[in-house]
Amino acid sequence: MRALQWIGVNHLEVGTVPDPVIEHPQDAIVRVHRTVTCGSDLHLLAGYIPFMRSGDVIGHEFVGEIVELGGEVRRHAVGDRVVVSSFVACGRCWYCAHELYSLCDNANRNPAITENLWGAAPGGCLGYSHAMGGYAGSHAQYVRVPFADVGAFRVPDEVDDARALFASDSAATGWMGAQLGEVGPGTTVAVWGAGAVGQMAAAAADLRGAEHVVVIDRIDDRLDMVRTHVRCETLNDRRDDVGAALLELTAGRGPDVCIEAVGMEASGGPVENVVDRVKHQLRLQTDRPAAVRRAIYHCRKGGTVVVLGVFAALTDAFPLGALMNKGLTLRGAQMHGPRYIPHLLDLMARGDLVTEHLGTHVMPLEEGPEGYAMFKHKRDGCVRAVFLPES
Amino acid sequence: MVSSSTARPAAPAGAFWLLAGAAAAAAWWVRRRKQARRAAALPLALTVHRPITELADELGQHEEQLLADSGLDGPLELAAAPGTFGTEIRVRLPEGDGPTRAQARQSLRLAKQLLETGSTMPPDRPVTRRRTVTSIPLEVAIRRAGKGGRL
Repeated sequence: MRALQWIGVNHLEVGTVPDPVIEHPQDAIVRVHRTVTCGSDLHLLAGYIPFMRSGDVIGHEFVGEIVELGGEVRRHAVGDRVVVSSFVACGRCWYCAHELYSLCDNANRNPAITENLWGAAPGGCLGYSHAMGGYAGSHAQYVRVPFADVGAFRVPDEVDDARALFASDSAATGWMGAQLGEVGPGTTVAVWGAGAVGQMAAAAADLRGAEHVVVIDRIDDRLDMVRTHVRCETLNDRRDDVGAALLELTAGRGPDVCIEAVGMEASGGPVENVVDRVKHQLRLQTDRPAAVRRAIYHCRKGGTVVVLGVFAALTDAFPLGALMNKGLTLRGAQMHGPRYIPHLLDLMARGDLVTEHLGTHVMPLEEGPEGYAMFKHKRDGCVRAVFLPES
Repeated sequence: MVSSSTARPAAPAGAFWLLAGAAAAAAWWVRRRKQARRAAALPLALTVHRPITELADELGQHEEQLLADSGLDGPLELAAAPGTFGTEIRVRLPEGDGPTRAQARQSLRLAKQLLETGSTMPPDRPVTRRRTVTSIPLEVAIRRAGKGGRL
């Protein structure tokens, strides 16, 4: 089959790889209808997550059709149109039983890597390096879905592929951000990053009844898009005094919940950028957390900061003083997909949650490397590039 | 006239710091060795999300096979875990010849998968690999990924 492969740093190719097979009785094989780029893939592409084998198939957010099932899959049938959680979870361990699916004890096939790096291993993730289990990704004609009863969900007929696609990860991550922040009526929420996850976090905050939702970014196209599709306000970090605007909006308190949706390659102020980038290139730190710093700085006393962006390991100049002295709660997680996807599909079916606008560029899988270049450099207003393996 | 000093040349400061560094490294290495020996004497332990009564019955039927597979010197020590965590399992490595701690760690991980999910996940095989020199450390890490870590 054809698949988009990571060959080396900043080098992707579409190649021919073996078709996936059922390796475990709870597997399904899914023919991929649509698969989409994710900002976290850019960290793999740039070599900041050094656990990729040359030739690995990337991609973790997709929708498709089941074509083959393992003998122990009970909830699905061949022909089901499904959206699949990017994180792989067994559904039976303590973490899964408590709906903390991305922390699954049994789904990461290479636990020692992250046990040594982070102290404990999270679950597995499709197409996201050998540190996360080494599973082949979805930028391919077919993909193996482990524990299909847990991670795959039938898409309602009213929801087309273009919308359902984002339930796989972006919308679920955004919803988790609002849930971890305990966003509800009366809450003011500030979201750093107007990419797909940031837009979905803002939409989730609005759907959960937040009083005010503000999205902060530097790209006007994205801010225009979020204002069009989500009931929220926007600030341009280059033009607006974000701090003053947030204090005015909240009468001096600051946002109750600050959600970071940028990740480990964030840009900050000019001096901060130079220092962060030099340290990053020299591997003196693995992450550039400029947006996390801002979220902590601007959050109200006693508020909650939620980290949704992907980070690898270590960072410098972390504002621990502000975190401690302001009494903040800092939360973060990889996405607990199966906890959120059924509800998100319901919202999508009712038309309360729209996502298809996020797929700004739709192209054949064969154009995958060009799609990633466009996505990485944010050319032509690209928010997400969607690949069609069947065309 | 050429004068010459009869004083002995002072030892370079660099030598002092080199020796101090070497001494510190040796002390660190000795301390780590002692810690590793103490850790090796501890039983391997993990928690299975199954009630102890249920697990005791099941393990009672399969313990011999499990121990044979893992090379461990039983018996398994079971204890109810706090709260909703399930059952704590501890096993001690035999003295002298026997499985390494790494082999036992791998076996226990697979046993937990089996007890919780009913089957074990196949390992991470390089089906699409293209060999590169820079990936050698990763290949080593993947080979040890089930046997290493903090279990």
